[in-house]
Amino acid sequence: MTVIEMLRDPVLAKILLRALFVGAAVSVSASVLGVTMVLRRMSMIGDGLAHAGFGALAIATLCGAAGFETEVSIPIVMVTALFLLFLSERGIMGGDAAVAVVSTGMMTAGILIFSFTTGYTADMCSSLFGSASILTVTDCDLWLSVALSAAVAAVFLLFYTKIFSVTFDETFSRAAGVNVWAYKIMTAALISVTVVVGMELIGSLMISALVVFPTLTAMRLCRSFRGVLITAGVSSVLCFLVGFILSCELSLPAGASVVAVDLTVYVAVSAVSSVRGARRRRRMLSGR
Amino acid sequence: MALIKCEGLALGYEDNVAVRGVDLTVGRGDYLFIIGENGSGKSTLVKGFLGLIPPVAGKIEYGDGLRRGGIGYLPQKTDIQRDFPASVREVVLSGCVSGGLHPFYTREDKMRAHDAMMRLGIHDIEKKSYRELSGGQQQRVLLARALTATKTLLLLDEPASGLDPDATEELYKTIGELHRRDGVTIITVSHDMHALAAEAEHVLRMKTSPVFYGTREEYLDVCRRKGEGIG
Repeated sequence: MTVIEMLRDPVLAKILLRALFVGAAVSVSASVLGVTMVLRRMSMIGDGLAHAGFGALAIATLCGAAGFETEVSIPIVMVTALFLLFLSERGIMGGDAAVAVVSTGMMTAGILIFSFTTGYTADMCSSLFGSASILTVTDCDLWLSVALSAAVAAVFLLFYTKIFSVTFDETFSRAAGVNVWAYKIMTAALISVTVVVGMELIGSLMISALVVFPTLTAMRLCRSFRGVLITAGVSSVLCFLVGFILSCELSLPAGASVVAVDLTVYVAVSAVSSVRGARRRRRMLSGR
Repeated sequence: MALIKCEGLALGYEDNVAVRGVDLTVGRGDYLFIIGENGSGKSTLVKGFLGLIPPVAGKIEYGDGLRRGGIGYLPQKTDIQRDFPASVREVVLSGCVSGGLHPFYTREDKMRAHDAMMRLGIHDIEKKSYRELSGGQQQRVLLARALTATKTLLLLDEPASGLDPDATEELYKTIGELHRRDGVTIITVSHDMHALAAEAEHVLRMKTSPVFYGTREEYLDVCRRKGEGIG
C-alpha cells in the first residue's frame, strides 16, 4: 500500500502520521545530541546505550510492565548512562572498554531474560532490528517524543553557548566556571530517552546510526558549529522522511531503510567534498 | 594588593601531593615564567590557580579585582580540537562563557571578542574554520579567546607546544606586546628559555616545590654560575 493510499484512510493516516512524528523527533534529537557526542569522541556511548536499551526492555518485560515497557526502560538506560559516565570520569575503566562491557552485559541480560520468559519472539526481533510494521508505535511513544523534542530544543536554546564551549574545550569551560558535569549528565539523560523512544521504530542495533551519520555528513559540509548543528538536524529529518516513505512503498523495515538513506547521503557528500578538496589543493599547488 | 597570592600552597590528592610549599605573589603587570621538568607539578599549579582543584594545605588568594573565573586561560591543545568544525569567531566568542544562565552573548561580549581579534590580527579570518588554520594561527585564536575572558590576567599553559620555531617566536612576541603595550599580567608555563630570557620578569622553577623563585636576572645569573647557559 502506498503512502498516499494510507493517508486517504483516516485510521491508517493516524498511525502513519504518529510514526512519522515519532521518527522525526527521534531523528532531530539524536542528530543534534550526536553533534556534541561525535565531536567529543563519545559516540560509542550512544551505541552502548542503545544496546543497553534492549536489556532494559527485557527487564521491563520481566517486571510485568506490559504496555509500559518504554517508561520502565528509560530510567534503566539513564542509570546505565550515568554508570558509564562515572566509570570513564573516575578512570576506573577506559571509555571504550567500559562501553563494551556495559553494552554486551546488558545485551546478554536481555537475551537470557527473553529466553527464560517469552522465548525468542517477534517482539524481541523488532527491538533489535527495528519494527517491521509501524503499528507498534504507540500514543505513549508519541507523547514521549513530543516531550523529548521540547526538552532538546529548550536545552539547546538556553545553553547553546555553554554547550559549544564544553564541547570544544572542557578544561577552559571548567576554568570559566561552567558546570561541565551538569552538561554531561544532561546529554546522557536526553540521549537515553532518545535511544529508548527510537528503539522500537529503528531497532537498538541501528539507532546509533542516527547519532553518528548526520553529524559526519554535516561536518563535511559546514565550517561552523552552528552550521553543523543545523545541517545535521535538517539532514537527519530529511533522511528519515525519505527512508520512511521508501520503507512504506517497498515494504521494508523502517529502521534499516532510514539508516540506508543516511549512509548513502554520507557517502555521496564525502565523495563530492573529497573531489572538491583535491581540486582545490591541485589549484593551490599549481599556483592558480 | 596582588592579583594572586599563595602562602604555603600544597595541591594534589590526599595520598599524592603534586605541589607543595609554594609562596608567591603575582602583581598587576607582572610576567611570570613557570618552568620545570615533566611531572614537576607545573600543570597542577595551573589547575590550582584556576580553582579547578582545592588546596590540600596553605591558601591561595585573589585580589585587586580578580575573580577566580576571571583568568584568561590558554589550555594545552586537545585531540578533539584537531577536526572541530567551528568558525574563528565562534571560538573567540566562547571566551565570554560563564557559569550563570546567559543564553545568548550580549553586545558587549561581541565587542570584547571583536576587540581581541583586532588586537591579535585575526579579525580578517573570523569566518574561517578553526580546523583549517595553521598551528600558529590556531594558538592565536585560543589566545584571543583567553583575552576575551579577561582584561587582567592571562594564564598560558605551554602556549607554543607543537609550533615551529618561527611561529613560536611570533607567538611570544605577540604575548610580549600584550604585556608591554596593554598591561596584561601574564603567567606562562613553558620550556622555552629564549622566550624566558627575552620576556619574563619573574621566574618560578618547580620540582614539586619551588627550587627557584626570583627575578629573571637572578635566574639567568644562577644559570650562568652553574655553567648551564640559558638554553
